[in-house]
Amino acid sequence: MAKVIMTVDDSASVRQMVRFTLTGAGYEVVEAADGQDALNKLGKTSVHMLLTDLNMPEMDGIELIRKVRAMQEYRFVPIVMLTTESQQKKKQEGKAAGATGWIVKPFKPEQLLAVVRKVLG
Amino acid sequence: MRIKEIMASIPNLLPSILFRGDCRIAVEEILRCRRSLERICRESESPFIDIGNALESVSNEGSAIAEKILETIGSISSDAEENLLDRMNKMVKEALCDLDSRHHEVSLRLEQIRHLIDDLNRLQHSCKTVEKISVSLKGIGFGIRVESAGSESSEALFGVVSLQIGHLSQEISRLTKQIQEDARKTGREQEEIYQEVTEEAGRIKGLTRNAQQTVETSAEAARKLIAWSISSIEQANTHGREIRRQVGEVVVGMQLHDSMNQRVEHILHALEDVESLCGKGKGRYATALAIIELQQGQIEQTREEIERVHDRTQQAFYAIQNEIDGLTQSLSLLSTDHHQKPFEALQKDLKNLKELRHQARSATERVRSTARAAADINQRLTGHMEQVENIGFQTHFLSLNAIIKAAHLGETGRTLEVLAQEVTHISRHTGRFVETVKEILNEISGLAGKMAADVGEEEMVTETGTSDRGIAGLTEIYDDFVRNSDASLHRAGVLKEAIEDVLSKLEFLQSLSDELLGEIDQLEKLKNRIGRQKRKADFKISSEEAQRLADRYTMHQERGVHERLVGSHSMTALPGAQNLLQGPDQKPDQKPDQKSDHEEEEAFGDNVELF
Repeated sequence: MAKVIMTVDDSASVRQMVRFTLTGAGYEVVEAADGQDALNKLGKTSVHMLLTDLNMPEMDGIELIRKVRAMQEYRFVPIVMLTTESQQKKKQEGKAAGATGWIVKPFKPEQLLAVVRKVLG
Repeated sequence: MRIKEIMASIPNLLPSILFRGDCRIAVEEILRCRRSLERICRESESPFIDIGNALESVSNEGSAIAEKILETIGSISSDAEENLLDRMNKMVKEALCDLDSRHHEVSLRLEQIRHLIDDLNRLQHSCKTVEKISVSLKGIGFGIRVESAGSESSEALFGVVSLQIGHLSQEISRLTKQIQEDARKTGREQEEIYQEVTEEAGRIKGLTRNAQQTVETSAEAARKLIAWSISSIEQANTHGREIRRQVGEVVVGMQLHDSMNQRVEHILHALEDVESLCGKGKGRYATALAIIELQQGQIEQTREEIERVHDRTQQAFYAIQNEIDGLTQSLSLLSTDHHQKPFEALQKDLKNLKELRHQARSATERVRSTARAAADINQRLTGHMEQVENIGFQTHFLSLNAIIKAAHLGETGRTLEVLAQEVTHISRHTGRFVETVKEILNEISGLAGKMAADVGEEEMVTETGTSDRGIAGLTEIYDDFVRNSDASLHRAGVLKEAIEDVLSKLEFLQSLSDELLGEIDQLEKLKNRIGRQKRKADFKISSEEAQRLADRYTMHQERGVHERLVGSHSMTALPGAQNLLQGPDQKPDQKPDQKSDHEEEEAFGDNVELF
């Protein structure tokens, strides 16, 4: 059965590119436009991994990670930040919140797939 | 560089006090500029999504074509149990085996017919000996009749015997002539058959030679096809990889909208501050000018990036188009170029081989038919056999009868006794003749029976359905190949049209860049308006202030812009700055396809960090 990955980004074009890349490699993709939307959808569907942007309306990526890590079933699910932000300070903040990794946009499809394969095992 | 020069001059800029009216106009212009930038960002999302959708279609269709082409080509050289070469080998092996078997059968027939002819010759020779016996028996019969005429008693005893001997002599003569005639006639027939079979044997031998030549050319055609197939698969994989790489380039380009959005959001905040600085007579015009300059620089940076994405995306789609051409080229070559038609050559050779087998089959059938005719003599000779045995018995009986009767006559029958002994002597000769003829006839009968029986056995062996099925299978592979090729070529044509459509859609990036250029011009006008009012150059901004403004009013990810402007660090020293100009992981001197798939997976790139 295909693994389900959630992409959380307020940019429709980025979500589109993530979905295109992952579905082409056989993954199932659930889209969310911000942190709050992601939390709402996580309550309805089970995912194997999250890819989230940092700066988003309603709820940003760091806050989302904190809330997701507080959910028992998502304590160990890989969460990778996918953002234009590259400051070390922000990365540390993400790591402390429970992020598994950090990808600075723009990403190349093979990079994203390599990371996904790596963290999903 | 224009921005750098301007930034260097920032400390010398002398702000002026705007008149109240100009101040109002400047604030309105800033507001209009902010709204315009917001609109540009909002309205450009849809075309980006359109290109993304088109990319998805092109990529899916390109992959489907590549897969179909690989499947089409792969059917020729696949590792499956029954690929083309296996079928070829099987058919060729069977054809040669069949021809060899037919040649063997015909050679056997020739040998059998030769034996038959030899036996018939022996039979004729034996019959000549018996003719002499018949003449001797006739003479003895005559002698007995003359000798027994001397007395009534001897005439009474030998009158009938002499008549029987005479009759037997005639019977032997008649039968001998009949057998001789039959043997001669059959021998002539068999000689004719022998000639015919010899000719057919020569024909089958010729057919086998032709078949071997055909097999050699067929094997060559099959080898060519397999080699073409393997090479085409390698090429198709290369084209497929390159298509994926180019799709990746477009994926990177389409993320521009997101970074543009963030940049514009940042610019909007900066302009908000400019609005505040110009309004209500705060008089911090030098700062306002510096911030506007920086935003012009950021918009210019965005424009450059848009144009770079436009060029890269355009190149990527052209490259995809070329790769699709490359993918379909080998298919076109195989189906249109006369010199590249090993498939047709192979099919022709195999049909030729089938025809040769058919001819060999007909030749064998003719030989079998003659063999059946040879077997017919069996029935005719069986009748002679019975008569020959009867003659042997009668001769023996007469000789015994003559000796007994001569003994009854005593001394007066001395001469008749000698003649009776002669009859016994002839009877022994006849007995030997009978045995010889029986032996020859038995042999002929055995041979004829064997020929008839062999025909039945061979009939079961020489079934040629596999060959027909093999050729049908090959035709099926070829028809599939042509059908799939046509379908792939058609889809490639449709895909190319779709790419043309996408390429025309990419023009929106150029329009986007032009719109942003319009905004830079508007900011320039705003700057001039502020500059026109500088009646009193009563203060400057320091280098430190310029640095502070640059830090605050450019995005961290684009610090390269202000680093260039302030000239304190090299651009590549900042994380992420390189991504803006070169993409996330590609080093300038690194060729994209130098890594294997596995290596690419392992090398995440500079923009990836796993915790």
